Amino acid sequence: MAFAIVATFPFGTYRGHTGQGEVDLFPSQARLHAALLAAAGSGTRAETAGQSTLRPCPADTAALEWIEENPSDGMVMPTRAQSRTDATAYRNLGLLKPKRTGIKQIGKQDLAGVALGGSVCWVWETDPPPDVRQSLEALCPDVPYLGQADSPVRLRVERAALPRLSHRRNPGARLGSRRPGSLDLAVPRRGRTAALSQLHDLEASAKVPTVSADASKTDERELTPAVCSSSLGIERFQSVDAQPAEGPWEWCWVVPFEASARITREQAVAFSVAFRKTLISHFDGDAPSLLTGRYAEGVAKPSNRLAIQIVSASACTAEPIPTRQAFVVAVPRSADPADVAVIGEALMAAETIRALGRAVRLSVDADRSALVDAAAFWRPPEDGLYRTWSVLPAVVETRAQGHNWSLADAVTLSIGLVWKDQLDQDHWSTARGSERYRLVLAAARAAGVRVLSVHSLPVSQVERFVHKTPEGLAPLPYQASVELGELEGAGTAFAAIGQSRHLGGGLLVPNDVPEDVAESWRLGS
Amino acid sequence: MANLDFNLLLQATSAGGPSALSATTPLAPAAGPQAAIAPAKYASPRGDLGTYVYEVRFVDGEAVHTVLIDSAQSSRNRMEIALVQAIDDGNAVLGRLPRIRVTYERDGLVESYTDLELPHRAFDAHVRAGTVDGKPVTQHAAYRAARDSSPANAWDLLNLSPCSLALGSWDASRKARQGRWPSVVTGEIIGVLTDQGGATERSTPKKGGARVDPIGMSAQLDGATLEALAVQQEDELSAATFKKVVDGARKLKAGEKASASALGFGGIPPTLSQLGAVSCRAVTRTQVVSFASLRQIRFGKGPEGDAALRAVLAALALNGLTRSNAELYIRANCHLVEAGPTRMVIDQRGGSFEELEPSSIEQADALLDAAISHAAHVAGLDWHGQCFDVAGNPAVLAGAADETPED
Repeated sequence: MAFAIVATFPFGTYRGHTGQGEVDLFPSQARLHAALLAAAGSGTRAETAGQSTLRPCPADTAALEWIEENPSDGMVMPTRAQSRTDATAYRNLGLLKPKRTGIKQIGKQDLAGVALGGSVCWVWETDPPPDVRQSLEALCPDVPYLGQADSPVRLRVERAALPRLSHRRNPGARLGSRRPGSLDLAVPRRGRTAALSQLHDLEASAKVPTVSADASKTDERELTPAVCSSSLGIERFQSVDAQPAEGPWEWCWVVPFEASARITREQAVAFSVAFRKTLISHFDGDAPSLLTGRYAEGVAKPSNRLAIQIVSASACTAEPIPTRQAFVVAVPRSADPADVAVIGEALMAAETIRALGRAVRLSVDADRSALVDAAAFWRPPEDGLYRTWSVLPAVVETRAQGHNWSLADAVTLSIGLVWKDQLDQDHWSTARGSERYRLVLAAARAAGVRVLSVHSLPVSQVERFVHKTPEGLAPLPYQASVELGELEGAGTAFAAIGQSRHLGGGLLVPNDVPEDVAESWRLGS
Repeated sequence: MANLDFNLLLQATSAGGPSALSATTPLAPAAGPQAAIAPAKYASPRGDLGTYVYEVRFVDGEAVHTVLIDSAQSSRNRMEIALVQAIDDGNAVLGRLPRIRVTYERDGLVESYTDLELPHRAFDAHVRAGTVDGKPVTQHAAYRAARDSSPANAWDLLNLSPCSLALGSWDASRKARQGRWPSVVTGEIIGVLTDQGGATERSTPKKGGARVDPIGMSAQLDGATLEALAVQQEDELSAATFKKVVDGARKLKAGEKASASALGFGGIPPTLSQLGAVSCRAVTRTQVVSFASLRQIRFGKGPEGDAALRAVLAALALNGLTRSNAELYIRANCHLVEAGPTRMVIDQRGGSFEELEPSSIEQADALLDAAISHAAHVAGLDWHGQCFDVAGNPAVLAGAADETPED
């Protein structure tokens, strides 16, 4: 018989923070375990261990150790909505030098939480041993809250009428198996109960401060409790209903060309701009917005437009490129078919692209009218290899986000903006400016986007990498290596990121590494 | 529908009892559904205007935009104020509550604050910096014993500052053995926003203020007149404002004039420079009393005695909740009325619930009285309104005086 621990939050919200102070998006099994241990260690079932200390009874310790050995087989994660706020509550802090600075006030942003559309369940498909089950049945109602103390919970054991799983644990999960809706959640590993108990015992048995140590001081600081991070692991819970994510671009034309010399990375933007001009010239002033990027006032701009990139024959494209290099003209998802058709006609008519004093001749041998599936543009990674992505030739940062904005944030945001339509937009569709950027960034991270490395390029001629420079801002070209998480689970889609993604910049090129290497990057391994 | 009687309370605080009691009340703007109300305002690092706390919540399965009208912390503060007022009014049951009282003398006047009003309750800096009989509070045996209390035995804290156990407290600056007592009661009021074009700070309506001076919208005065007016109003002005006006007046050369707006003369044109009120289609107050939290505390009186003492704390929390609910004043421009009855439920183990009749103030008093009497009988509780009197540290008062709103 299946067995579940069900958590119901009376306020309909879960409020917790991770070790870095960020909002915890999901109550993990590690947090559940810690809450059960706290109840076992000080609730009505606890045993007296000394004059002023309590400890869990042996039956409860065994039940908690059973959870260490048996992570749940699945979860029911209800509909969620994360709210973010920068609302800051101030409070007086002790006696910090009152004569010199007045009563010191500190601000705290602890109001954000996650709204839940139902109960959270951790489901085991087979019953635990009877004594474990009995302990958990008795312990659950003694857990007052999960997360912050202002996040009260009603916890109970359920054996019948279990809801359908939303996420199933994948015991063999590896980095490359991440799919849309996957949750990588912290779980207790063998020894977690003992480690937490030991830390608690250490604090509880600490010597009572002396009278002088307890004296009121004029410079007091809040001393936070120690955090135990040992014996924690990560388990991947994959969405039962997940569908493969749709890429930002749906189709592409691959147009090989002949040139006396290779178009270098630094020349890619210039030739792509020239290619677009050639296509635009075909329309005699009536080119579609999909191509020009100019939209009438009031018309909502799509996330992406027609992208023109240059790839080499040596790249691991699914279809071989007959010449040394080729232009790729990619059509974004949901483009108007009529626009695609007329751009296709312009493409067929184009012969030569001129830029930087050179000319390249587009191949007439290839069937330029054939549209290639952009979702299968790259060959899949070979067995044993894990796909990461390098950004070539470079991405250009053209935003001013203040001193807290890192290059890693910039590349994550760029990815999030490209995949904007595939991300959950409920919470940021109406946000604007830097607030919107922060929310897109969080959504991209939640989807598994990770920046593995990033560095700025020491170049003085940034115009090589950017086709339009915002007034008053110095563009910063950089290269990066990234994981796309569930945004591109298959690892085969054509995509480009950044300001010049539509014209020769920011192409995401596969960069495969041995899975063992990638696996070592995972937390908890 | 049953009342929350003492037997049920005792069962809830004993081993095997329910997890929590929750109370939900629909509220509405007093002036009618068309009226806007002022939510709780918070500071924002992005500007002086401040912000409201907007959240998405699921109501009847639908994701809706909400605004926080009253927070958990604020809700507990309302309970404390209600309890203090009842004690001040001579309520016989609440008058038995032990409390810590810090007294300051300022300009010949005596000011007292109890642990029900001080933000960190028993562990507040005002308490720790004070003295008892001329000796630091932190050396006093009773205070030290309360500070050394642990979940294994909180008897000494219970008898010094029960509100610290019921409403939460954290001895956060103590070097070791910090007392960490989560509140057993929490609550909030949220409003489901009407369609206001998206619930973000960008769409929060603004409100303006203005001052009309019938004599003239701009009062420009010479230096001597300005200084004379400032001297005349010195008692009503802050030291900083007085100095600023006088210094400015003395710097004026012959024939020069300056605005007397700082002295209250002249008009202020209307500007939309403050956060306005918001319109809500539903307002809900939710409160939770956690029996699971209470069951984490022991008092060294055995299972029966400990349960009885927990029942006292539960009855105290419920009393504060009942009293604060009876008064629906939240803040200016946030006048609410009850739009329906309070639904109070207590869970039974296994996922079932029992609905309860909400208590009146008299019933809440009777429940607390019964709990105290029972605890006196089975656990030796001796509550008779004892106050732990602390003389406030004058240095703290001087420091607090340095910071005035005008600065």
